[in-house]
Amino acid sequence: MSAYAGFAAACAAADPSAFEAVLAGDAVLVCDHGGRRPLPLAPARGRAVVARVLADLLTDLRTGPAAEPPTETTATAETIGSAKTTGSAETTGSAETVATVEAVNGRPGVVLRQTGHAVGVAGLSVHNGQVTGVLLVLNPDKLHRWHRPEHPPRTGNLAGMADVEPSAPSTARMIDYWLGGTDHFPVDVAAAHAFEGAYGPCAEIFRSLRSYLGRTVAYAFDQGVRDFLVFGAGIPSHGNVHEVVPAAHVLYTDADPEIVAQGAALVAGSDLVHYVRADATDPGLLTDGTAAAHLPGWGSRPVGLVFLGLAAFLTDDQLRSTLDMLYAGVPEGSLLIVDFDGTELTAYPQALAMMGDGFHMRDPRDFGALLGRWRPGPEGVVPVARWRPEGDPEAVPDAFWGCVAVR
Amino acid sequence: MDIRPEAVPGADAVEVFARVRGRLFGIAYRMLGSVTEAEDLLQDVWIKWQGYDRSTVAEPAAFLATVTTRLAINALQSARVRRETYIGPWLPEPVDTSADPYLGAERGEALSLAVLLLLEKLTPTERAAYVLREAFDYPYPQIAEIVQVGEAAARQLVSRARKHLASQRRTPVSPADQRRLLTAFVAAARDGDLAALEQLFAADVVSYADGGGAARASRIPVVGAATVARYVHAFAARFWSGVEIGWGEANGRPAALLGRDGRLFAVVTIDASADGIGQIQWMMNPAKLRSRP
Repeated sequence: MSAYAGFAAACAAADPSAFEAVLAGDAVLVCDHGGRRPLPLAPARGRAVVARVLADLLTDLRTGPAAEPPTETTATAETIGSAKTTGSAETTGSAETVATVEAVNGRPGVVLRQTGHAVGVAGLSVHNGQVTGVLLVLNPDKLHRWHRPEHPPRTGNLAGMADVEPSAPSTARMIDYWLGGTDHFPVDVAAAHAFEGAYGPCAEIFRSLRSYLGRTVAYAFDQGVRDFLVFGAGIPSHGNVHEVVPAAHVLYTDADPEIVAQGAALVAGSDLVHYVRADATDPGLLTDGTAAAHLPGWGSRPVGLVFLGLAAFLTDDQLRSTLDMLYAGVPEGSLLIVDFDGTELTAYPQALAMMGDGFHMRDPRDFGALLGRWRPGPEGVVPVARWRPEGDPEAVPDAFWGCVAVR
Repeated sequence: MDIRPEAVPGADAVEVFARVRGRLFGIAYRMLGSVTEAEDLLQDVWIKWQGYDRSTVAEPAAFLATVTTRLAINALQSARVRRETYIGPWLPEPVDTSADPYLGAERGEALSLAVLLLLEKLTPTERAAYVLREAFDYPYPQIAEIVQVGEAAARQLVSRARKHLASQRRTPVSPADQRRLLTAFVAAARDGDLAALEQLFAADVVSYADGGGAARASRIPVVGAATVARYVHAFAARFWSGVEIGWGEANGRPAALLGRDGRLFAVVTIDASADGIGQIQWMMNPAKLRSRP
């Protein structure tokens, strides 16, 4: 375990011997508490003294005033250490302190939170695997940007979710993380951070893509479409289709059974919205009765086909034939909402390498040909932020392009 | 500063400001050690910028950096008076650099809590010169102009500040060890060997990538031995395929020159101390690579 993770674990346990194990002999602790805690004003020096002061402080934190609800809705980081700081789990008013290793001022540091409410942020100096210096900010005036919404418990409330965390990240859950959702796991956050290390911040780009989905779906609804079939739907929240057009019938599909289970649990209980497993390239559900069972207008009136985030993972041949099958399977007047990845990512070789071999970027000028018989609307094929923007388009890179096409 | 009577139409005041806001915040935060105070200061800069005859400003980015730095020097003086009555030790307001890429960007220098605390010991002008030089790589003549001293004095300010901070710096390893670590890193990165990578890293290693995509904000720095190892592993398989590796120098340090089809596409350099590799820089910005043979 690294010195950082060891320090976080010691914080979560409020254990002096755990602190001693990670501290250097000449360790120094400086606390900024703005006079709000009965702590020494001078720096604490030496392994034993620093360990004791920290353990006392962490024990003290649990008996502090109840944490206010967090107000910000930004992302979370991987939880390294988490444990009750109290000896007796039944003690009333005790708050669990969660200690995580996060990027504090460009270095690893440890953040202490109680129900998402930041109670301390520590910058650490580490030499030869030992913590030599701890700069601990406890003054609440300097912590409010560190509050995070607390994640709901993962198990027990989402039907179909395994007790164990998934071992591999999923794109759908990474997007959920970027959209500020709560339906993702540390493995997804780690993958999202790794990608951002190579590419840059992604949250705004995916928010822009999600708002493209919102505008196109609302447009289709305005054109009279009341039935939506969504491919590669991902997590059905944060402005996904049924939230944009709550009066419409929506059938979500995804090829990943984990995502289908997660999604079906989220929309369970709705008469209008359903979630089933389907592979977008093999749209058997168009003809096998699945679509008809969940979309009352199926076969008798124009439908909306939402085909986002998929083209990039299909070859030209697969994409052309899939779009053609969809064309053949829906009534005239139906709308196809589609996007694809432009060539912007070529400028980021590490990010591109992370996308794998099955990833296809396309020159926007070549995309029209792949639509086959579908006729693109008057907006044409444009960066998604510029498809009928409401006000100024979002200032994001032209990573995703798209169009709404008509049968 | 350069002043020309024409240029810069008024309507883009917002756009210009928004474009350089990240850097201005980076300067103000490093000067004041407080997000709240830095944001207040940027508000003042914005008001000045709005009311200014912008047609007289030839280089808005340089102009705004100058205004920000000079206001920050004043603000730091009054902040220090306020901090005299602070109860107990005063520490900077920490920032989540995974949420604010601008701060960690450029070089991530003069940003850790420990260094910000040491910067408190400098005079405001010394601090400004140091921040502009170390974190943002401003040339000395420009620093001199911003802090209103001669060029020799600007060099003097930066070198005095460096001496103050020298005790905090780790002893760098010899050039030969540096080269050996770089070679070992490139080999481990190529193999995507997680364990080997982690062994080479100092616990607080940071990886910076400077890519292309002119209009983009900087990459988010990747922080910590385990995370950087995973990150390098994540792109190993495809990133290195067909890569020819040459060895050279960049900024006085040994560098790995990565080419594909005879064309240079990345320069990798490291900083190392006795603790291991502390920084990795991936330079992949075509504009900056073009100047290399």
